[in-house]
Amino acid sequence: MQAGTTASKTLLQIQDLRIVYQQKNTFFTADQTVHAVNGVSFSIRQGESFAIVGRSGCGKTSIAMSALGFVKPSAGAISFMGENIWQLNRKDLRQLRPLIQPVFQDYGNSLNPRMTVNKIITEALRTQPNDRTQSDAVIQLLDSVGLDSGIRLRFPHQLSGGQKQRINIARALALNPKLLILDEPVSSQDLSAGVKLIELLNSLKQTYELSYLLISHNLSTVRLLSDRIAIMKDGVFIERGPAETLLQHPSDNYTKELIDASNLTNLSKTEQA
Amino acid sequence: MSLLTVENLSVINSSSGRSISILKNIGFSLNSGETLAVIGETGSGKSMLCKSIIGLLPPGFLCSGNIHYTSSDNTKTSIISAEKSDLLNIRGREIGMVFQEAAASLNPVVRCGNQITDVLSVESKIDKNKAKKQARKLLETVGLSEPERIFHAYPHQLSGGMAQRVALALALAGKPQLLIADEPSSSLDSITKKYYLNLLNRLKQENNLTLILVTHDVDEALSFADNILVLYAGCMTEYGRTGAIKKAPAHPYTKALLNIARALKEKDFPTPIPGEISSLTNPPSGCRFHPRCPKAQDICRLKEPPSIDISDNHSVRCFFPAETI
Repeated sequence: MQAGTTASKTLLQIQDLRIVYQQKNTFFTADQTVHAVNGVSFSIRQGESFAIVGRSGCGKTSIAMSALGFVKPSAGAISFMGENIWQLNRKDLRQLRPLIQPVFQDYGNSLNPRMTVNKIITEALRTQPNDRTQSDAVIQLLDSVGLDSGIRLRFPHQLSGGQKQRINIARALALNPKLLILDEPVSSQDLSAGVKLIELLNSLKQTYELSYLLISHNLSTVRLLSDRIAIMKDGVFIERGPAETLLQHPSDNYTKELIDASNLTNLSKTEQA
Repeated sequence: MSLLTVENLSVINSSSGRSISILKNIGFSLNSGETLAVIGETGSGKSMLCKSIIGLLPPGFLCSGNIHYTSSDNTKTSIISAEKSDLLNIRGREIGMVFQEAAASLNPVVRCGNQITDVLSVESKIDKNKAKKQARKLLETVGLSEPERIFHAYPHQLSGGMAQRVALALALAGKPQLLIADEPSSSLDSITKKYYLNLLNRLKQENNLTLILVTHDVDEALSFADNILVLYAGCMTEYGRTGAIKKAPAHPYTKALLNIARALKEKDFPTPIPGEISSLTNPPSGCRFHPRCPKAQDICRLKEPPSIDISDNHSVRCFFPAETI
């Protein structure tokens, strides 16, 4: 669907990533070791959109959190623009961090309820050297995500779900990122608002030459937004390939099951009979 | 037999000092054993409709119109004018509800089994040991493969799908006739979602449940429900049998929603509905959908559209329903 990305350079490279969570004995639980990610490798080129698809709890978000520098891997390497992010010193990591920005699923809780839209975006802009005045930059960012400048005086509770998610995207763009990590960006959205967001993300990808790491369990979203897909189960990739090819000709039974489950047409007929 | 009849239901939020119309002139009836899907965008009033039916509107929300519920012993109750004690008898025992955020609707510091046991011992008036046995059985009924582990687990130890099924078990503990499920599958992955919907279907058959399913997934509504009610900015835009709406949606809004769902299925890029849903605090005059409607004409901006019966059990609120455009 999105061609012309194969010749570009590698932006993110993940090699044999392993993430193990140790849960200490608490009042509620006994000691537990959870192997969330078990040796995952992939790379994302500049301008490319790579999706990880799988059921809840398969380890998708752990990979994203690790790439963002929030969760330390137990083993393996995460390189961004050739630098192993987990071996960088604090100063270098601080310089690199703005280039990888997250857009979370829970769009409402990602925005400070006490800040206006203007302040939310200005906060991000303040960390960046900028030629424009901050108010010009805010208006331009709002415009780039399809929002009217009048919205900048509103608080998050005065916005619709679609508008909130656009503010999250505008805030991420304020830092001039190269890679956006989109964790279920449209799963909480209505049908129409979700489609509009997909349109926006596809156009921003072209305009800002962005790369996406998309985390999702919604195959419709994935098909419209990604160039390549990896299907994840129990911490490992079980199948991967170009989006259209994989969705049209899945080879693994689990992938077939995921695709089949997204089709609800036989639901009432089989069960109500 | 009509189990639930809603007539001219309007809800006004006056908690902030000004009156905001949340729901306007909603009317439908639901027969025993049927499933009604309520679809619409966020902010269209779907959850408020459910809360009105179960009598759980927050303070400051004023309800007018009629909601008639026929209990299992054939007693008719008007939910809006019912005494608190009557509502307590209806909630849980007659009408159960699975809330949108299942995990958040469970008590975080009480083990799941004990939450269900408490409901069973109150609703069925049985002793604790019997209630515990039944709670384990209920956990099995809702398809949880390790009922013993789940019984002793706290809500935070469950996955989203498991929490959703525990919330369903909790709602079923009172053996309701009518189950309201408010976006039960919106946060579930596709396999869990399909499993959950199949489970709802099976439980519906086994217990002769009547179901109100709130969703913004049009595909889910089309596959699952007998009737569909489409809400837009607190107004009912279309209501009818699923087959009729699927075949010939009459309202431009329903049509647009169905086109998006169809395009996603046929792997085309869908055309979204332009603009945003109208604000309830400052709604447009006339038809609330007119600012986004491709067919809007002057009359749509001036007057509220009347309800037009297209066929038996299929009505639309539009000046220019599909057939006449």
